[in-house]
Amino acid sequence: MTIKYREDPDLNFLMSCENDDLNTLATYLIKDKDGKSRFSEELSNDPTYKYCNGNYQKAWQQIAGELQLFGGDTLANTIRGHGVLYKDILCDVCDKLKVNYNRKQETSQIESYLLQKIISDSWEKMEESERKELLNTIGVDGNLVGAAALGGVIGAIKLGGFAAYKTSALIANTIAKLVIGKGLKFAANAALMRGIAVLAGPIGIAIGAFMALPSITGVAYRVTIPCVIHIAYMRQKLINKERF
Amino acid sequence: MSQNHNIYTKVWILDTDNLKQEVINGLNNGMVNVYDGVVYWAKQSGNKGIIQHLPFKEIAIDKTDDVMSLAKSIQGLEATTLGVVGLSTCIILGALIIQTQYLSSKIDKLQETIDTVSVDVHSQNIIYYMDKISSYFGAIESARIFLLDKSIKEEIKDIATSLLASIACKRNELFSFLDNILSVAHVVSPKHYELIVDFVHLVLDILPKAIYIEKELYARVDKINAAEFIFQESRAHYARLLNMYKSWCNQQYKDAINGKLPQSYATAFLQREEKVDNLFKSKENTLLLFSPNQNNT
Repeated sequence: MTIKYREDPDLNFLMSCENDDLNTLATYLIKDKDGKSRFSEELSNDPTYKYCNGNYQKAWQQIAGELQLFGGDTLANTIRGHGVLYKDILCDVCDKLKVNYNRKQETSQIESYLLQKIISDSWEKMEESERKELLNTIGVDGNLVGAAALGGVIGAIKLGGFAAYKTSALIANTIAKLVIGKGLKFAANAALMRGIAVLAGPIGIAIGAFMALPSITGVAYRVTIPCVIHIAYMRQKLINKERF
Repeated sequence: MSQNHNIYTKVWILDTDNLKQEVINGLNNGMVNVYDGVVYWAKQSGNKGIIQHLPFKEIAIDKTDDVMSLAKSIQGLEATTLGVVGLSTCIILGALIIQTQYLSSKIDKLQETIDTVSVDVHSQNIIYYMDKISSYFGAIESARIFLLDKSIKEEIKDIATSLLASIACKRNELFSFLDNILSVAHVVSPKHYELIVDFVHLVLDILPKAIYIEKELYARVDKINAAEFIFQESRAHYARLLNMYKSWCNQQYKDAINGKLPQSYATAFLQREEKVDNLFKSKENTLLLFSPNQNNT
């Protein structure tokens, strides 16, 4: 069975992503929370993916294609011969998580709103010390308190740059631990590592609450939510470095 | 036997065993310059004149290898003093570029791209500049041929001077053109975008070889100060161009990741990612633009 990738301006960048990140994305698509193969997945039987020998960059189109299939309705996918575009999947996730966004905005902007929503919800679950740690991790003035502090965090994410990358890393790492039982691999960054250790709890509670919502207990959302968060992280990771 | 004849070619390379100690010291502290196989005292040394004609020896090389790996393997055979490793590889590499068909084949490839751009991009100013660029690299190939035989040095002096004047003008035109062409890349069709990116890439890859050949021809006709001046100016301008291209590529990359670049442009750019990276990491080009006294200029 060969997976067809539908040309997608928001997923083409996967060809430039690192193997570890693509592997995590593929794992979300193939395995469930208990490590068992998903009933509806086709990726593990795709020849390109199957024989890529751990070089997932060779199979980025198959991974992306599988995500597009998970985002679409099974019958419609069969008729079309391919899945839906990433932006539709992202907007679908944002609708379910009640993220305030505008479909006409750029994909990276909508991903930013999603990150802001998760951080805002996590903020409610944080102790004061954890809030200070979050401010410290993403480089916002640690003297801010209450609504001003949350405003500072949201503002930093909105601005993009390294704060947005670190926020996406915190969230993506937490969801990786929740879904596949292990965190992501990061280049050594003391502040980020400390933040990950301290904030995994409250962010995990917020994400856990999302995942437990009755409206998103379907298999597709259990796949697309982690995938969308991971893709937002992968994009931020690439945007925030000088490639050449 | 005939097979050997096809695969191997003979070239002259630096014999590092017979370098004078003054040359080695001078290379280590940037007090010498090397042009056309002759080591001269640099201005800042306080001395004048020639120190040594570099000793060369003839070896057979495998034409099928790329010049950088050839230069490295040849350099590896030499018992090279640590301080002259850079220069030794540079001279070997330069010798290979002058004495083999390496540059010609690169220029042929560029000419193919130029022809395609000229046919496909119906913009009069682009066609005009493409013509200039063809003419520049044609002149560089002529310069390379003059450098093949030292015995014709006296006879080619007049022709070389006129050729060098022409190369200088064309080089400046090329630099100006490269300064501007990337700014139009995003307003042309996806196909033209690919052509322009490939074209700029190829030119930036060949330019250091062209600059090296130009410098060597100045030295061959005994215009040593001009050789140094032109070389330093050209390598500085090339560094600026390369930096500009790097900034442009980084922005294209970010826009491609962000989805800000239209899909076909983004795909075209990301497919060239590795090739672009190789240009910025090119050891070959860094070595050809190597200057023993670069810290002093």
